[in-house]
Amino acid sequence: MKKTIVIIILTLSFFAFGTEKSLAFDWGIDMSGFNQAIHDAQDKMVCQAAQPKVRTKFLKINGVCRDQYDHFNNILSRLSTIAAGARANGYDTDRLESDRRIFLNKFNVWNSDCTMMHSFLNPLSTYSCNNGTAQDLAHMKSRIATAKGYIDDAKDKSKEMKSFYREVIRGDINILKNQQYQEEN
Amino acid sequence: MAKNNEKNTKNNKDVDSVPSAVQVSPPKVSQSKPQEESHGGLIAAIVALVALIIIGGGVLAFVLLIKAKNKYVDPITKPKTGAEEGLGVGITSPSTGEVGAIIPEVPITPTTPVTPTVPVVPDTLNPPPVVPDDTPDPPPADEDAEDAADAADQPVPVVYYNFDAQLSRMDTDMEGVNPDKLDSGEISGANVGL
Repeated sequence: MKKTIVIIILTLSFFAFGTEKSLAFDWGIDMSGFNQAIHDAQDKMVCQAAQPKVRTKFLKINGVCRDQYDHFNNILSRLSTIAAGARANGYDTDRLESDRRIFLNKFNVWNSDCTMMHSFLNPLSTYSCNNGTAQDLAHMKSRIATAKGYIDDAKDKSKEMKSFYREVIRGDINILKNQQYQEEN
Repeated sequence: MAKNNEKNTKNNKDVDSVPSAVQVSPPKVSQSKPQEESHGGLIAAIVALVALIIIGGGVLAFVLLIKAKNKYVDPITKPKTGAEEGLGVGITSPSTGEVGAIIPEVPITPTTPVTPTVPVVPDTLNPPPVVPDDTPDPPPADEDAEDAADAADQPVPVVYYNFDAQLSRMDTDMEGVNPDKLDSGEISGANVGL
């Protein structure tokens, strides 16, 4: 609330002294230094307001990435176990092994996206906005925009892996399961 | 003496020659009025200028105060970085309780590509098991009994592989994956676009 009030005061000061239609301009006074100070103070305020929110968002998304990493890793391990067990019983596991390789490739791409997101957002989680210049704010925005691209990519890849499991991997495991059922009967 | 009397008579004549009613012109008051008005306008302009300078100075002082306040960092309340705490990436901070969040501050270079640091799972069919209970479930008890009863009559399959149990575990794992949680979303109020 205090920061918002300060930003409003700075904005009003800018319109009072900073624009070409302001009083200072009519009086012929050069206020460029003062204008820059107001702009820098505004940017610093925005940077400081955004920083804790970026940190919270980063911690949340990083936690989701770690959680999904564990789940996908478990799926890969179980696929290996099923393929090995089925192969030991004499079943043809070529399709299942091919499915696992495809799933692994998708997983690696997803993991890379999460890693890149981490590398771009993690430095911002401890960013201090000390310089308070427009360059700092632009820097933060640029990093966030890049990280957002990686997050969106990871989300798409995660959906893709989930549908691949449901539509392909489960079907191929059911084929082996039915084959075993027919042999038993 | 006679000269003096004559002189006095002459003076009396001069006095008598002065007209009794002297016409005095009225004071020209109207000439000083415009001069007073111009002084009043000047004073008002100076007062307005002084007032604006005071207001401007107040705003400037406020801005400088805010800047000075923001530059000051209380050494007691200042949060320690990971380097100050002697922590590395991924280690739980004893002071904040956050995992892997605290790292030493480094200068940011937006255009520098960062290589992935998370190890990639190797493409092997036999990685070390992640979950301890990742072994095939034994067949149901009733099937065991049936198999034992028929043991004398027909050969039992070498290994019964329980695909259903593995599928059930994999379904559980996949249900835990919610892609929508990877939502970049918006940081409200900050207007920074994440």
